Amino acid sequence: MLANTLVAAAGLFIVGAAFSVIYAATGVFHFGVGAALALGAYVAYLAAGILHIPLMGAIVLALAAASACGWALGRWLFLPLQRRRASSLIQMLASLGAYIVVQECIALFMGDEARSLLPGRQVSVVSLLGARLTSIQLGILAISILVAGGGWWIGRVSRVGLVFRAVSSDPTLARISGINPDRVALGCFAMGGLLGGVSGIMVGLDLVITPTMGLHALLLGVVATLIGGVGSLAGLLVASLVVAFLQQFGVLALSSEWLDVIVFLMLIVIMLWRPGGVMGLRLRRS
Amino acid sequence: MKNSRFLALAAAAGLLLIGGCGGRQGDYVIGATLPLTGDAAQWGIPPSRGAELAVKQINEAGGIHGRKLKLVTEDTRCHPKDGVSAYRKLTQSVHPAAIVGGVCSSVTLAIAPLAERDGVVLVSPASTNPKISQAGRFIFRVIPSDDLRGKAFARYLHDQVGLKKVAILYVNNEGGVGNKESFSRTFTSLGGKVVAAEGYAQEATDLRAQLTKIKGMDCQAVVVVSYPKDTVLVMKQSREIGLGLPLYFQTEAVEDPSVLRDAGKAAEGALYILPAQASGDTVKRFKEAYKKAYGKDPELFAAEAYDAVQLIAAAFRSLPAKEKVTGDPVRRYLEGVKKYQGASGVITFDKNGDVVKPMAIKKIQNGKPVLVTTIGG
Repeated sequence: MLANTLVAAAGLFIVGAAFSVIYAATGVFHFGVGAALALGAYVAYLAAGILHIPLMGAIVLALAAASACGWALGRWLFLPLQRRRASSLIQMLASLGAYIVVQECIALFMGDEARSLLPGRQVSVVSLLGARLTSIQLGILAISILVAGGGWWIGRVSRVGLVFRAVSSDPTLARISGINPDRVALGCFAMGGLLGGVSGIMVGLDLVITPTMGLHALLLGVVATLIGGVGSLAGLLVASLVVAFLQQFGVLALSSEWLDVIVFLMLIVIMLWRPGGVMGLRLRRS
Repeated sequence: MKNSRFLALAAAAGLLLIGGCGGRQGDYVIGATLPLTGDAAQWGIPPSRGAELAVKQINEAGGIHGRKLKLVTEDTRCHPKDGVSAYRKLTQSVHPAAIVGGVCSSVTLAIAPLAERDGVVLVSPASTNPKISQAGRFIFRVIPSDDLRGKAFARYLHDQVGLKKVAILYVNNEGGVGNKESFSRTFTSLGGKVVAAEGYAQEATDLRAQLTKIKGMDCQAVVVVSYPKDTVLVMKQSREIGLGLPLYFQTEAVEDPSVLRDAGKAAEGALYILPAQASGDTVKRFKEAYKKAYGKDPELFAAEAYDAVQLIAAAFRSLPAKEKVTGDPVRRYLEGVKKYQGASGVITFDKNGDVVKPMAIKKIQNGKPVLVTTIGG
């Protein structure tokens, strides 16, 4: 049970990170991550299942496609709207539109049924401290630790992080200091797309892929982000664990039909209690 | 000027009316409400093919009373709301006397009251929810009710396999709940115990929490009510978490080609119940014709939909050629159907419009379905 919780939390964490990267940089609740997530999963499926490219190659291809998807959404959807000073509501709706286009295109070309990235293959199971994990779940854990470490390093230590924080706290001042905020935003979109692709492939390997997988994964990731507080990596990590724990143990205590109810109820309670998230800053008064 | 504009409008309206009629005047029309997109499309496309095949054969043999038979299909997406729209679209455009559908029980139950009110005959090729028995006089089905299946499975598992304590894992929709209820009612009445009944959402992909919960309980086996997608998930994930309990599937989903392909070794040993395979000349001819038309063996519910169309066509044929077809005489004809040799087996409707058929217990062995035994009938 604990192992299941950790794996679920790792999945949430990566989607949450993908969402936060874009949200923090642009202030837009962007559904593009969901599109990149599903696209990545399906590119991997096409490459591995139909074109018979070895799995590793397929994954690299899929990640490239996912981050390209993120970048393209930034370049041709976010920036043009930004230039016209569209409100964040418009931005959000536009991104939802883009997400639906991607989802329906996948459904049209690939069909609606669930597909497996590893059809018919039995995944090896490892026993670790009394818990049973598949090799894929171990991979998910390892990758999320990598993302957490990498995210911390980029955010706090590297120059990229400095630029990123400069832009998100004051775009005008950043521009004066010679930073191009558009390029930073595009970088964040590509990064968000990449992380979305990572989580899409992980879900695909562990479970199955469907055209609608993007939204469901994204919503839970967003819940974790909001509970943790936007922009706080540690907050996201803790919130992912809490959400995953609630989901898994909620099934034990109550019946499994209540799974999603518990999670979203928790979101509402936290938002009422601390609108900025548990670890986040208090909302600025402006 | 004014006149010519009026004429143009009238012409446009006339065109619309003709277009709205859907087909030439004088065709016999059968409607179909099936899920052609969405999660359940895999269960809607085969019956639409089966129905089309029947229509094609009837027309090639000269139609009905020298007139063509036409099938108009609308998509339900396996959602009650979309099912009702599909039904309305059909009844408002082509006015069919009879409709083949729905596939998902939730959709059939949503359409049934409307069909009953409008006097339109509904023949479901796939809905197995027990509630449909009481849905009305115009509602028929060529697939046995879950009640029949649930009762037979509970009796088989209790009496033949010797199970006393089981857990149930079911998809939480009309169909899943109906199956779960009829199984647990019979199993409990025989003296068995259902230690847990865990539901999951139709679109769920991670069932490990539910399976882990069942793993920690005192039971001998898990009875699963699932769709093809979740069947694969249950098979794989129960191995991943080391469930260590035999799985008994109260669904024909196990036989779906996608399940055998995607589950691979994890499907090995799975035991399941489904309506017994039909045999005889009609069955053989149907299989050959289907393979010729679509390049594969008939998939789930294709034979049932084929029979539904054939039965409705037979009802049309029994009426005087000139009479305008309405639902009522079709209903009366179907009520009298006894021992009809169909592609899906021998069909007799009981007083609720339910078909009575024998059940088969099968098992996956070396990646192939193998018949264990046949019960009831």
